[in-house]
Amino acid sequence: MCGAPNDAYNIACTRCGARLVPLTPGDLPEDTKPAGPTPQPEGPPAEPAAQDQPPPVEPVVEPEPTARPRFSEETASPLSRLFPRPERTSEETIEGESEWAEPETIEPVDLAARLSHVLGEDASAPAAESAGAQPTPESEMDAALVDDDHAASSPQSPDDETVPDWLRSPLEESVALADSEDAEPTPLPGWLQDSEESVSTALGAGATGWGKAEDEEWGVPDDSPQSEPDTGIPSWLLPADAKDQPPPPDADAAPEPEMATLPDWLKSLQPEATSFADKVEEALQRAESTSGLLTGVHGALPVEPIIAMPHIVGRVQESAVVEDARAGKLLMRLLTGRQPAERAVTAERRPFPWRAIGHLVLLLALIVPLLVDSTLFNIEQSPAPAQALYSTVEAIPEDSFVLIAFDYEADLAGEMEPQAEAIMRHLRSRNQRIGAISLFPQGPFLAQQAWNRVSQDQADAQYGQSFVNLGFLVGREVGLRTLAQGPLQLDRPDFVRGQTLQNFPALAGVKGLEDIQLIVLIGARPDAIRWWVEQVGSHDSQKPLVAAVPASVEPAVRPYYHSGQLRGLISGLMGAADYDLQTGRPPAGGAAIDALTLGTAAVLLLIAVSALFTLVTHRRGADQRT
Amino acid sequence: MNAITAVLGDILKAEGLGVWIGAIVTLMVYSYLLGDNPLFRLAQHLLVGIAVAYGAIIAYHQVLQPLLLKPLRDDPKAQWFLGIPLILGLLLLTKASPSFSFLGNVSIGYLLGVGAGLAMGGALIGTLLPQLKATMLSLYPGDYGEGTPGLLGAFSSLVIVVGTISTLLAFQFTRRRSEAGGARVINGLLGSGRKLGQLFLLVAFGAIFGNGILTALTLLIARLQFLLGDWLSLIGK
Repeated sequence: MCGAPNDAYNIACTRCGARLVPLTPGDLPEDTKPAGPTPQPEGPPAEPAAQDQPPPVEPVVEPEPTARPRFSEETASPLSRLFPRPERTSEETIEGESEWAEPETIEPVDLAARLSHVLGEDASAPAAESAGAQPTPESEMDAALVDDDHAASSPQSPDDETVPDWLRSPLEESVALADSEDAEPTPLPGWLQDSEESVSTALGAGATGWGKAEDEEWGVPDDSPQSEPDTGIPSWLLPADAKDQPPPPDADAAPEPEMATLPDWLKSLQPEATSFADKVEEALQRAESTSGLLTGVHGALPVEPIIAMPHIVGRVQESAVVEDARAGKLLMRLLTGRQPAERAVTAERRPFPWRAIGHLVLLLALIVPLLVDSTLFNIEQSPAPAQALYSTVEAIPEDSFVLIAFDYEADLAGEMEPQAEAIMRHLRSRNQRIGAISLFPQGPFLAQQAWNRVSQDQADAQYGQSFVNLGFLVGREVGLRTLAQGPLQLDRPDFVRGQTLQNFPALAGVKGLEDIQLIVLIGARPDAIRWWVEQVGSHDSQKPLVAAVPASVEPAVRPYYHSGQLRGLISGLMGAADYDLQTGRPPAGGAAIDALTLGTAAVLLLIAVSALFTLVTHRRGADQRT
Repeated sequence: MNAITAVLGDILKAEGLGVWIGAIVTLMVYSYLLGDNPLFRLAQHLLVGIAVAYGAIIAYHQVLQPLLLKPLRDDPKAQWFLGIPLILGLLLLTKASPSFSFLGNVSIGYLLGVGAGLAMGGALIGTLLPQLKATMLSLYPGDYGEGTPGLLGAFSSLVIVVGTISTLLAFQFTRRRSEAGGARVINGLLGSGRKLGQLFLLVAFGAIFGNGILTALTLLIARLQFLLGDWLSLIGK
């Protein structure tokens, strides 16, 4: 398909010869084929099977003895009854064109006459009108067209063999109506009369259908014919290359509304096309499509130029912005009658460094006690959980095996090491054997560091006899469940020397969980404490579990102490110091206790000051607004 | 290898190189107070890289080599069942390939199944039931002693009971639809309990926040002790 426009009654394209109407069963009769050399179209065979052929149809009219291709009733489209197809001579056929080709010139057809014939009117009067309105045939083709019109205008008998079945019933009605003595010529229906009037009115408006003034505005050439007879066909139904133009408008038609024109002051605001892209766009809008489906339409943007031409964004003119600002100020001055206050341009003020002051206060509160090694603050009374932990450790028989879980990593070592060392020193003071294990990869190393610091104070503390590092326990809950249910894996190597655990005297007589007298949980996360309590504590509820946690974790672990699942609990640096005091040692951290106390006081002070400041400023702002 | 690590350890300990490295990295992290900078990013990357590498080394030397590879190598006939976790572990490596990641679904399924089963059982038996039992407290002062201690004990139990119930109500976001009869009373009680539970939650969050400040201050003090004592020797150990 080439996309060229064709008339509604075309069977094949005028440009490429492609068939526009679907093929119907059957083939052309032999006598309808053109005499000249006509190339056969490609596609299915022209001779269908004998049983599929339609019944033979006699040609309706043979106006001329010369061989001229005629269309048969069965193979013709329904529209051919309304618009008889003008024919082309054999010399005018082009290569590849079928016998259904259309002539170049198209004669206007009396629409009213055709519609009247279809509706079954007495065609004598309209036929006479149509015959009188038609132009003098200039060629045989025109004569054939006229003859065809006459043939089409006369009512046909339903008994006519050329009439197809689908048209017999309306024809019967039309014949009966024509034969009737009281039959009167049926006037055109109202909707058809109104449409004729509106079409004729629109035709009088010009090619665009608006008006001559608008056509001039848009640069549309006024090609409406002034002396052409009124054929009743709107111009928009005529093809683009039609020579005949629509008739002038009817004088009795309603006055056409004038197209509104832009005032000069509004036209001056219209941006001028300065860039190449804008100029092209204007030219495209003025251009009229002369080909394709959008023939006669103005302003249709072709696709190619849009794609080929990139959009160029124009720069904003700064002078326009400044001018607008000046105009705005002038307007304000005129409206208010006073000079607008000029905003004083001042240097950008830096905000008061409240945050830096707060950091400095906190830093001083922490550093000064460390530098002077102060011991201003003492712990007066140990909390109940810390006392319970001490009591639990005291209740274990001497030379028992205690398992310590070092479930923390280097990030919280600063808060966990004092607690671990305090508990380990207490255990060593009671000659307990200690086994270190961890659910985290960094735990065994941190356990070894804690033991190294504790063993410095005790001469009899020997690795392997008093302390053994069991290393990393993989699997978290699964590993703990395995530890609780099964025997200890003594064929594993330790963390420090790589020797089998069963070779160490510290693990003598320890086969499983039942041989462990106490489990100390030094955990930095509430999950670690929970895993031990759920997997090991639930398996053996009689096994004592105590915990040492950071201050931030204590609220989450406290319920386990209150429920009895943990026999003791200490938290943070204060808990370690308190535990040391209970064991009779100087508190762990030393000056760190004072630093922590002063630092906490500084934080409280900063919070209180900021709250008061916020309250005052908010109240002052509310007063100013009111 | 042990000799090499021993020598390195001696060097680090004698020269204090480890202290200097620790001090420099500490200052690199604290440089974040001045804003995001490349030194802080470098310290972050060092932390992640060293932690992952150390974890991988520990996992190999503490788990894979002594518990899986060595027994299979020494006595494969008696330890043939260790081939099952070996195969499952190798299948887990296929998760790195989009084409063969489906093969690792068996290992993932086994891990998830065992972990979820243990976690569920532990949560039920180790946490829920004991905590529920611990909340069933007597409000009779005589059970807590004579006189003031008994009263204080009963009051403490009352606070625990009321706080537990109201906190659970604070997470109830539905109410009875009809407002007729007893439904209005129930809705009113539930609403009041919900507000009281929110109050308890606020107190709990405040306690958690305050304890978090204590932890942060403790860690800062520990770092200051390291910088001023171990690095600059300005304070005694």
